[in-house]
Amino acid sequence: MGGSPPPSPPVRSRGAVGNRPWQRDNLETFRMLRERLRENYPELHLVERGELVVAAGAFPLLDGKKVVDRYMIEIVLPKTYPKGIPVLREVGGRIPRIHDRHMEPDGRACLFVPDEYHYRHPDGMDLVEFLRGPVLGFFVGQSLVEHGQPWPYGARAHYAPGIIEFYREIIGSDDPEVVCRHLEVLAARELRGHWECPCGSGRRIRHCHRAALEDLRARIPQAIASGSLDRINREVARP
Amino acid sequence: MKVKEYLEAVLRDQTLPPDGAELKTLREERKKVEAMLRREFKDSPPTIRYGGSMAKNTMIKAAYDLDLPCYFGHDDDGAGKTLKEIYDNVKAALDKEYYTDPKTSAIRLRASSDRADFHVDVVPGRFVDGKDGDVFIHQASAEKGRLKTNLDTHIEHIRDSGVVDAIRLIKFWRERNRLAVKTFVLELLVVDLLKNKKTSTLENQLKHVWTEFRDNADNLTVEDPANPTGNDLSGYLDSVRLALAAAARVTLAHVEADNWEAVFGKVEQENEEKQVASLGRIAATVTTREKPWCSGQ
Repeated sequence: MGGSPPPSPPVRSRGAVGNRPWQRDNLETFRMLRERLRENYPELHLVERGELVVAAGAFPLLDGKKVVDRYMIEIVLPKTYPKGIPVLREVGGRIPRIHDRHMEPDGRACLFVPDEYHYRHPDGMDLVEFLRGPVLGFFVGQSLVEHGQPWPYGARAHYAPGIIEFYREIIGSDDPEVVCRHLEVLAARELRGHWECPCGSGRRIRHCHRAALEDLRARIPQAIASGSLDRINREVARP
Repeated sequence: MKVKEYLEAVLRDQTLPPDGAELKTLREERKKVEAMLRREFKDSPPTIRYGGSMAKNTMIKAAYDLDLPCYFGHDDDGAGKTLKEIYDNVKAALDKEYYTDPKTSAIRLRASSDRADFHVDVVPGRFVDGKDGDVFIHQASAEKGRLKTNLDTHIEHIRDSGVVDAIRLIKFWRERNRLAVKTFVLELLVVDLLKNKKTSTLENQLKHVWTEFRDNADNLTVEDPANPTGNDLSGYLDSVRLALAAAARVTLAHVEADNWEAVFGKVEQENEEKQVASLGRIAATVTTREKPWCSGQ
């Protein structure tokens, strides 16, 4: 989902670049982002709310030059922007706040499994890219669903099964035990080559999937992996 | 079509597409005006920003224009010592490339060749003290010939009001009824009237505004949120109170008869198939396609 990751563990998670708000260190980037937003989405505005930067206003769905639909939204950019996950809310009250519409009761939109977002975008996303990609895809999906059509790119199962679905595509297994073993490796402070490989081969990591696991650890922050591990452990019964 | 869908269709129809001709022209003119004013006042470069409906998210196709506040430093006399001098000097600079129409505080730009309207208003002014964004703008009829206000306060007050869609529709209604109410006054009025109606449906918000216009026109007041004790804007309503009440009466009669098209006109009702086809085309343009999930947290 496009929501906040679970609370970080005491050790700084991989991928975080510090706690100072990004716009304080990058005034020119902030100014240029404001200009780009104005040119591409004139009904969206960037404002600072305390330490946070928020894009708010009307988001249009355009077929060529024709406005086919529009939604009132707010996007809170993470302090580590462009890394981290922006939080999208639909504030017009149009989309029912139910899980089947991938909405939380407080209006937050669940755009994706966080692990999947980090895996596919390890360097984060520029706001305009985010609007053209996940945000547009989400709202065009909502409009299609209103017309009785399916989600255009499919949808993940709710809650922990959705997380397992994602990892199945990466590691080739949807066995919760196997997924959890991988998540334990991703959530660990360091990768140790002498550990048993989570794939179940019986070999040590250094003689098995070391490169793949290092790649996963570079993409998916510790805190995210740790949160997903907790969820699967809590929600998925295992023999 | 249900009322909710009809009003959403009207709002869509009134939305200017980002890469449409109108907004492109506004952006181009803004760049030209900015470059020219910086050239003319190179020793006293002004702060030039977007103001008005573009900054407030209240732009409508039926009546769009671009406000360009052009503010000089509080201790900078380069553009003029008095606000009137600043106004006259900015107008003189713009006269070199445009035909200009002087307004109360703004300067409207038209093409020098055929006086075609660019829909751009330049608003010269000077920062009060450079700290909070308070500015003085020239206004001949005002006490001391000036008005004190704050652009950011105005923008945030309207843009963050939570009733922007209602504001846009009431502006459209004003255009269709040819009511001579200044835009910034109308916007402030609607925000004030809807301060306790933010969670109401758009339909009910509109009905509430029209009911207030019809039944309470003589008592309507407007404050400047940037200068509530200094600027009483209620006087701007005096010449239109009767017209507001009359137009609202007719409108409410239409609405009570469920004849919304008499209020905002017909909207193109695309058939389901075409709508779905449009959405399908949009879906194909999405650059990164995610599968939505639900955390349940």
